[in-house]
Amino acid sequence: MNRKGALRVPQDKLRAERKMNMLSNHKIRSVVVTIFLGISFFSFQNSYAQEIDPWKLLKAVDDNLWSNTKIISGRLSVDNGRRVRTMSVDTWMEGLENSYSFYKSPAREKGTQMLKIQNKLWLFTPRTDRKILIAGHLLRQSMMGSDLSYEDMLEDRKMSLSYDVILEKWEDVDGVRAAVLYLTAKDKEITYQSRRVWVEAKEQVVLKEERYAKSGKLLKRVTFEEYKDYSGRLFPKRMIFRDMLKNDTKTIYHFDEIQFDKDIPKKYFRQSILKR
Amino acid sequence: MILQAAWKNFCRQGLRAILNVLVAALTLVVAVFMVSLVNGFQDQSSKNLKKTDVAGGHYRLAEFDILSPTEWEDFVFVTPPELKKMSSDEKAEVLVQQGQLFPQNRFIPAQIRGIDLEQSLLELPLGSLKSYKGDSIPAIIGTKMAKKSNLNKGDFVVLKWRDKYGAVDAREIEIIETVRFVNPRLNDGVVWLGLKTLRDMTRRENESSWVTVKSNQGEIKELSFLVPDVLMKDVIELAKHDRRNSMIMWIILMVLCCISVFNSQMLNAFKRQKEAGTLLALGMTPGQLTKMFVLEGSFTAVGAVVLAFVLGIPFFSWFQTVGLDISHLKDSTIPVTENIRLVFDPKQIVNCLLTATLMIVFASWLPARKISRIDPSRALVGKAF
Amino acid sequence: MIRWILKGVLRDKSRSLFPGIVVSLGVGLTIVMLGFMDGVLMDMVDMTANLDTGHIRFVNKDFYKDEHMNPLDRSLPAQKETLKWLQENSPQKIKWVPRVRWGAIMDVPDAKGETRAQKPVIGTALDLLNDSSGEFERLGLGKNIIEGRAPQKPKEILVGYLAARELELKIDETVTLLGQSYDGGLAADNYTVVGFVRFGVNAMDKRMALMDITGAQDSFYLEDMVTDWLGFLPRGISYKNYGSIKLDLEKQLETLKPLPGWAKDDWPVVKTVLEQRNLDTFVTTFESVNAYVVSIFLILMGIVLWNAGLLNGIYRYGELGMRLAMGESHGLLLKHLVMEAFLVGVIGALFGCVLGGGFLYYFQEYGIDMGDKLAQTGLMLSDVSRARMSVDAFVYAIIPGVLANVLGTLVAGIGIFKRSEAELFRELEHG
Repeated sequence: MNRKGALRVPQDKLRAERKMNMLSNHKIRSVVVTIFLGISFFSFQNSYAQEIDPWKLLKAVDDNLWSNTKIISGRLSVDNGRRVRTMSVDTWMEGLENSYSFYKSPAREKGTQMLKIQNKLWLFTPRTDRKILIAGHLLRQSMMGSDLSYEDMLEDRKMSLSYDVILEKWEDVDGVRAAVLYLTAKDKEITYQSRRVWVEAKEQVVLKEERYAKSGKLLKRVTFEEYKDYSGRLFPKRMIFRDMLKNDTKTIYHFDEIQFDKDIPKKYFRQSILKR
Repeated sequence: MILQAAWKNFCRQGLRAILNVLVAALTLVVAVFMVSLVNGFQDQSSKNLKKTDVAGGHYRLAEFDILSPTEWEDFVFVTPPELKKMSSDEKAEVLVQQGQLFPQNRFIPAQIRGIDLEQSLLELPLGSLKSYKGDSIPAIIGTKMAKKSNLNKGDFVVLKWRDKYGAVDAREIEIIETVRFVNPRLNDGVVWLGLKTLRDMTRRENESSWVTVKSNQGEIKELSFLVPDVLMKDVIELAKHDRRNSMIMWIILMVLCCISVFNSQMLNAFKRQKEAGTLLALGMTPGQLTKMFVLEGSFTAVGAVVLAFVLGIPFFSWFQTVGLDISHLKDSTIPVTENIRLVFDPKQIVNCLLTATLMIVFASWLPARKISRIDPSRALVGKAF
Repeated sequence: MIRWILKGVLRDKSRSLFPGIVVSLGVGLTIVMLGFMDGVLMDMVDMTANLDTGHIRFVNKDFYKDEHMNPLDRSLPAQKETLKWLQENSPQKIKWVPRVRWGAIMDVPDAKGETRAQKPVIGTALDLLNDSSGEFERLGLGKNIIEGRAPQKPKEILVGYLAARELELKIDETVTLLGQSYDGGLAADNYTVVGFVRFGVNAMDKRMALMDITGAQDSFYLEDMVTDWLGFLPRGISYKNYGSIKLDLEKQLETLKPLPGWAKDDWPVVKTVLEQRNLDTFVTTFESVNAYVVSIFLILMGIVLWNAGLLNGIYRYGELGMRLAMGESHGLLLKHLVMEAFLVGVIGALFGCVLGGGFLYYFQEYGIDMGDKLAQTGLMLSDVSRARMSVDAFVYAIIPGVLANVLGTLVAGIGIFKRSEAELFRELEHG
């Protein structure tokens, strides 16, 4: 997607919006007409919704996000309300299962590595010169002090596989029309039992995501900003994570450089890589 | 004859004897008071602990440890039929889970404790949880927790927890009451919910962290039974510590009392050397003479015991009507908020009286031993010492 | 006149020795008793102060507010400057020591370096490598380390014996601490387990780890920062003075300009040990019980000494008879007797002070191990009973010690008025 700022809005949706504007310009006040218009708008929306298969849309989103392999150079900046701390990190990812991250800066985090193989996560720090299995209650701790837990990282999985999805409604996100998909976990062991994903349908990209407690209470919000075309694939320049139960904290993951579908040597996803 | 003579001699000491008896009697009263006060403390705190938490003991998994919050969710069990079938006045099921409160965007770790609201085994001021008619999750917190979290009755606050399968959940709960617990341990960091509510929230049907029972139900597979003494170990130890301190004070008092008796006896020995000399000259054996002097001293002990009863009974009766006010300790970790009353243990009292008597007899024997060794001829002219 | 009486008292041992001993014992016992009562209370205060809060605590306000979470990002920077300021603005007798309270996951590797066991631990880092800090003694590590030794290097750690048991730790084993640094980042560091420690408090023995402060500062990236400044006062200074010391320090704080490195919202607060962990309620109760016990004891001692004075008076009826016969007046005799009793009382009280004070000092410094194994229970109580020396104890002991003796003599002296010389002689004759 070639845009600097707002996403490109689908043409048919624009037409619908123009029609709405025209109608409102005529200031039709008759109750009958209002009802008529209401019905026609609804049926229009429905017909539009019917065109979209929410699961397919979600799958398309997943496919866009999760390529075979991905190499990311990025920065993780953690703002705890008092100070901002930025770490630069390179990540090699193979599908959903395997990923390896290497922290390059600041000096004290340099050389810290994180390896995920299937559903196991190891942490290596040069200072300790050993790998620590992140398991049990440690999973619930904050990852590198961010608003994400290690568990959040482990749960990075294809939403289309883990959740049932319905198209809930359409909503504007910063002036962009988005399909609001409501996701319900298929498995009771999934940390966030429901999510809401705002997807720009045409380009099949996520604009915003909210993660909820089982009760529906909003816990985390992730916004995806500034989509950019990386050799035919749209990827945001930034992801912003917020813990909604805390004040003034946020974590921004800046994606500075991304390469898709590059061959990554197998050694990146073996425990033996975890060394100084 | 020796007894009579000793009694006469004792009476002749007049004010000195009265003072000795008074000191010894007061020492005894103080000793009994201190020991019984510690008993009263222990009795009342264990009564309160039993009434509000311990009852006749707990069935729980052996690994469960209230000091390891991260493991609470790992050591729960489905209440077995043997316990389930017990009536609500014989058992109380309790489920404890880890949670986090977010008052004013602050973060406070909390112990979410769900208790069967139908139970009548434990006395807990949680009645309003049962009668709650609102739409939120009703919760009660103790005054101490209220202060720590800055929450008041009627406040809504976000509570976050994990269910059995690890899914994270959070909801606003309503603090429907802040209560003062007789047992402050039920206060610190605890958010009280109905058991059913907590089980629903955590999808832990029929699961408990422990089941409090009225009496031991025998061995139950996979569960350990913790007797009240184990569950109340710290209170028992605290009383032990207090008892030790009162013991030291009592010993100091007794030493003081013995000095007094010893002093009188020394004076007797000095003043009555002619009498002693005469008695020895008339054929009394040194043993008999010692016996007479010791008997005189012993009358102090006997008099003290009698006087202790005379002074003690009205004092203790009065004290029992008022008790020792420790209401200002309500926010401490001592599980007592009422006035402490004395609890008398006959065995302890007899021990105390016996020890005191023996110590006084010993204190009167030391100078008497000296007098039995005197030379009668020198004693007759008052130059034995 | 006084010199003459003093000579009499000193030369005639029968006049002074025994009554003096009784007064000495009485005064000595009272001093021990009061010191003991005071010691029990101070033990409670000191135990909390030593392990946890100091007598006076100087801590960042926001850290104090959320201390249950050990928010390292609210540590107080400018360690050296802060110490300098504290030393310059608080009484010299306060010994200030830095501490860091931290929380982390302790990860124990197996032979291959893979995670074998994990457990959340909380801990304190203290100035252990510096002998002059007194922290080793304050925490009673000499006695409380039940296996191994104290840390001698920054990256050595002591672990609560119950935690060690749970993690199946061995001495010299390496463990990794995984926590958050002061700026919220990841803190991971290796420590060598050098000893197991037992404080007798279940919550501590199960979850506590101790290390040197330089180690913690390095591991949690707290360069030049500490979470707490704890001020310790000599045992001789009563907890009753803590409040005024705090107020003085707070007054000084008003003049303090933020030190270099302090953030905008860094501002310390001063707390006394009594304001924390509900200690004030304990102290109030104990004081009221104490007052009862002390008054009863003083009454009893008064009676004993009065009795002793009385006995001494009676003891000398013969001598008094003779002096009356030689022409001394009843009044003068009584005056002499009272003065003598006073002198004996003072001398006895002095000896009593030396005796009681000496014992009390031993009792204070070394304590008496009651051997009832309280430390193995879940309480912050000590097996060793300790006393505390205070001026109060001496005053409370000396005044009744002297007065009661004089009073006893006075009562016995009244007998002189009632009796004639002949009667007194006869009493001397017949004993």
